[in-house]
Formats: sequence, C-alpha cells, structure tokens
Amino acid sequence: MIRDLLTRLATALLLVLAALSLVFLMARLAPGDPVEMLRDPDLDAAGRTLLRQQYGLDRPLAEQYVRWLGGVVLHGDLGRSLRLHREVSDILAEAVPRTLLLTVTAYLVHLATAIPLGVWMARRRGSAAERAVGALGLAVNSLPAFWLGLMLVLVFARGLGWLPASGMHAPDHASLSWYARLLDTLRHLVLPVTVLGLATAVGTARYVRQAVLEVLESEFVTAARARGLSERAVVWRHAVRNALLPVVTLVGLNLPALLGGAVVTETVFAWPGMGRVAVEALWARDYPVILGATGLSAVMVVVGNLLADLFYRVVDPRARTGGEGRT
Amino acid sequence: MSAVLRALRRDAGARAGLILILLPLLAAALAGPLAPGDPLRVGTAAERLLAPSPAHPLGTDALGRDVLGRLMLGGRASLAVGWSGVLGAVLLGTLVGLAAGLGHARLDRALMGLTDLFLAFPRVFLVLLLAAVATPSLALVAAVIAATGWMGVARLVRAETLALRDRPFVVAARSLELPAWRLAARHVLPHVLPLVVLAAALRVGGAILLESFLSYLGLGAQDPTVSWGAMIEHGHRHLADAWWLAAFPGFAIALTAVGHNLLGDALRDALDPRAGGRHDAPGEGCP
Repeated sequence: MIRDLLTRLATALLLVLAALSLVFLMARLAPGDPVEMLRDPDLDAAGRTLLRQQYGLDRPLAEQYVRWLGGVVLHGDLGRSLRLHREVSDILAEAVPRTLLLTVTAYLVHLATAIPLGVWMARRRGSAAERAVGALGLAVNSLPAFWLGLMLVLVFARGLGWLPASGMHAPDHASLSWYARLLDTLRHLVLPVTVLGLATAVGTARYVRQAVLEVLESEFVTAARARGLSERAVVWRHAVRNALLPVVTLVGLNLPALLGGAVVTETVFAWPGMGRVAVEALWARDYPVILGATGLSAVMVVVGNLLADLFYRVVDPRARTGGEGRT
Repeated sequence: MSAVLRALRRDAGARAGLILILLPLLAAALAGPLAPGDPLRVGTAAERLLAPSPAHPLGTDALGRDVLGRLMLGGRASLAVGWSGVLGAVLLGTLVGLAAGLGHARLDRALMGLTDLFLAFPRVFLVLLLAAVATPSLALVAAVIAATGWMGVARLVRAETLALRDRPFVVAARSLELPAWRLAARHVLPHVLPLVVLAAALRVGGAILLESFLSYLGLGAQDPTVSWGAMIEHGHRHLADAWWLAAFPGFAIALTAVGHNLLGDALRDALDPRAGGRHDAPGEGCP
C-alpha cells in the first residue's frame, strides 16, 4: 500500500516536471523571443539586446532551461510579466483563489443538480418527461458555452436587469457591509456558475441515470427488493450509493474540463481569474504569464487527479490493495 | 459495414443529423443567389446595425454587412476546421496507439507517458499556449485541435491493439516476419477501424465548438474570411445595442454541433447497440 502510494507520488512529480519542461520548450522553440514580441516603440535594438541580457535570453537553451526550472522549483519564480511589470507568481496568486471560488461553486452546483436529476431520470425511464430532459441534455452539450453566457447576459443583465453582466464585484464593493459584500459576490456568481456548472449538469445527469440503471439490474438490488424494502430505500440506499462512486470519480477526474470551462466562462463574464489572465496575456503575447498559467493548470490537474485517486481508495475498499482482494 | 449503413438509414436521429450537417454547406453554396446583397461588402453609414427587417431578415452588423448572408457563408469555416482537426487528431492518435500496442514495451511506456503528459493540461490552456506562439489562422486552429485531441484515440487504439495482438491471426501474421507497418496496416488496423471512425464521429461536434471559441478569441478566421465564432465576437462588442449580431451565429453553431452529435450517437448505436451513455459523460473540456 505504502509502496503503491509512493509510486503514484513519484509519477505525479515526474509528470509535473515533464509538463513544466514541455511548456518551456514550446515557448522557446517558437519563432521570435519574448523581447522581439514587445511592441514598445521606444525600444531600439540596443535596448532589446540589453533586455535579452537582463532576462538571460542570450544564454544557451540548456542553461536557460536549468535556470528557469531551478527558479520555478526553488523559489516559485515564474519571471515577470512583460505587460504588467509584475511578478507572474503574484498575478497568479491573486487570480487562482478567484478561479477556485468559481470552479468549486460550479462543481457543487453541478453535482447537486446532476445527481438528483439523474436518479429521477432512472426512476422515470422512458416517460415523456424523462426523454425530454435527455434531449435537452444533448442540445445543451452542443451549445457553445461562451455564446450561452452572452445570451444569459443579454436576457438577465441587459434585458431584465436582475443580475450584473460581468466582473466579480460591484464598483462600491469595498464600502459595503460584510453581508452586502457576500450578497454582491453571490449575485456576480449566478450567471458564470449557470454556464459552468448548471448547463452541463444535464449531460452528467444522463450519465448518472445510466450508472443507476446498471446497478438497479444487479442481484443485490433484487435481493433488497425481495426483502421487502421500499422502492425509495432500494433506490437511494442501495442503487445510488453504488452508482455514485464512478460518477464522482469521473467528474473529479474531469478537472481539466472544469478548468478549461473556467477559461471560457471567465472570458465572457470578465471574471478576473486564471483563465482571463491567460487570455489577456495571449492577446498581449505576454509569454511569462501564459507559461505560468499553463504550467500551473497542469500542476493543478496532476494534484487533483492524485487527490481523486486517494479519495477513491478511501471510499472504495476494493481499490485500496492494488491487485489482491480485487474481485 | 453495409449493415451499419442500413441501421443508420433507419435511424431518425441519423437522418436529422445528416441534414443539419449538410445545411451549412448548402447555405454557403446558395449564399450568392439568395443572400440580400454581398455579405462581404461594407455598407454605408445608414446601413450599420440595422435591426432585422424584410430587407435584411437577420439585420446588419457594425460595418453594414448583411448578417443572413454572412451566416450562410460562415458554416464552411466551422465544418472545414472541425473535420480536418478531428481527422488530424484521429490519424495521430491511431498512429500512436498502434505503435504503442504493437511496439516494444519501452516504446509503449514512452508513448503512454507522452499521452499522460498531454492529458495533464486542460485542453484550453494547451490550445492558448500553442496559439500564442503562432500567427492566427483557420489552419492553425485545425492544427491545434489535432495536436491537443489525439490522446483519447491513442489510448483507445492501444487498448484494442493489445487485445488483438495475441489473437491467432495476428500471431500467425507476426510469425511470417512481416514488416511492422504491414502487420499494423493489414492485420490490426481493419479491426480497429470501426472504433476509430466512431471516435472521430463523436468528436467533431466538440471540435466545432472549440473552433468557434478560438475564432471568438480572434485566433481563427481573419477578415474577410467569415466564421460564426468571429461573428459572435463582433456581436459581443455590440451586445447592448444589437442583440441579433451575437444571437444568430450561436444558433447556427449549436444546430451544426447537434447534427454531428446526433449522427455520432446513431453511429454508436449502429456499431454497438449495447453501448450507451458514452457521449453523455462529461465532455473533453470543449467549450
């Protein structure tokens, strides 16, 4: 068990290292270096050479790589933004909690909607209402999320004026009392979370439905029914509990999709998180920031997968001993 | 294969999907005679941001161009990029999967390590990084979709190849000491192909959504090429005073993606009537 865990940990570390190296290589092998990309009219050739020396860009690639990786690993030093003239690590440290606020809320809303909806679909299998929800899921999966966001803004912000169109806080946020501030943030969360968590929940509900239906066919469910348990107890205590494990793992392992979705959502709603930072850096060709954000997103995915894996071992005894005792 | 085609022909979803897929192509072909005026011609000041009316059924944009005409032209970019991107991804994934499944254990480990590495990135971030180092164009978007979409296919093909490699006919072919490519192409690939076709069909809808997002970010089609994603970006800037600019291209993208998803689902049912719900699982992170 311990050895198994250590192997997992080592693999994750290797993966993080490889991801950071890939990010570095991709940026450095691209035509043109970051200094060349600076669109500063006051910068002449001599100034650019000086900047290159300052940033160490005139050194051999291998040396640059070792320096960069050393800086990242030892000091969390991701370099300075070419556009904002701030440390990339500071920019990301500011943005990540905002992205987490958005994604964690969306994740909770997603599960809280998808699970009951999926169970309902399994119990009402074949009914007109169930088929309609299933079709809705297919349709929503085919909508461009950024467009859905714009349409929600059009209706609920511009049209009805119920909710703010973008951002995380109202301009007067700082002067409000604490509960007014909380309310303000919540109001700003509604539309982004609807796009990121709620709209996609119908698709996951179809998956939950499938998982519940499969469990309902198994023998222990028949046995539970034979013991005279109520349908409610059979479904919730026996079927759902066993069906949810793969579902939760799947959604947990789908962290890349959630982070990717956050990029889309943050762009449309001007939510000041990692995704928006990355997109704005992209427009300005601000390499250090894109590198930092991309590298960090990979680290988050690897760590998230490791945690999901550990969680799975805790809840499912069969996965605990790799191999022996597995049915 | 003919049984599959017959099953598809009977499937109402497949028929509807096919119509939805062909619609943008038909519209682009008919844009010349049907669209009111030239969709690429910049209009006069009086023609800017006109609301939908009989003269311009879907209104005009901030440059006075007819939205309906542009909508009819814009589908070509979505389909071309969606299909070529998925084709690239599937080719790449099949090659990697075959090499990993049939090759030496060391090659297998290296290729699967590479696959895990690419899977560690949220796709959108990888796409942004790749797009940042190149010049925006539709070809770039297709290449980026291919470069970031092959991993799932590679795993699928590898698993299938590993299951095949100890089957008698593969062992027999191997004992003939055929060259590796021939073993792969003639004896393994035909058995993997239906799976690969299905994987491709299930991915085009997502690729079309990804293309629209990248064009929305300004990384795809550049003027004067028309694309639905770029039209939505234009509409975003005029959201307050011209709702029709952003609304209609989104419907068009959604209908095209629905068409592909319907056809993909029907194909899955035709190939394997028992398998269900794969498409219902949360997606690959496509917007």
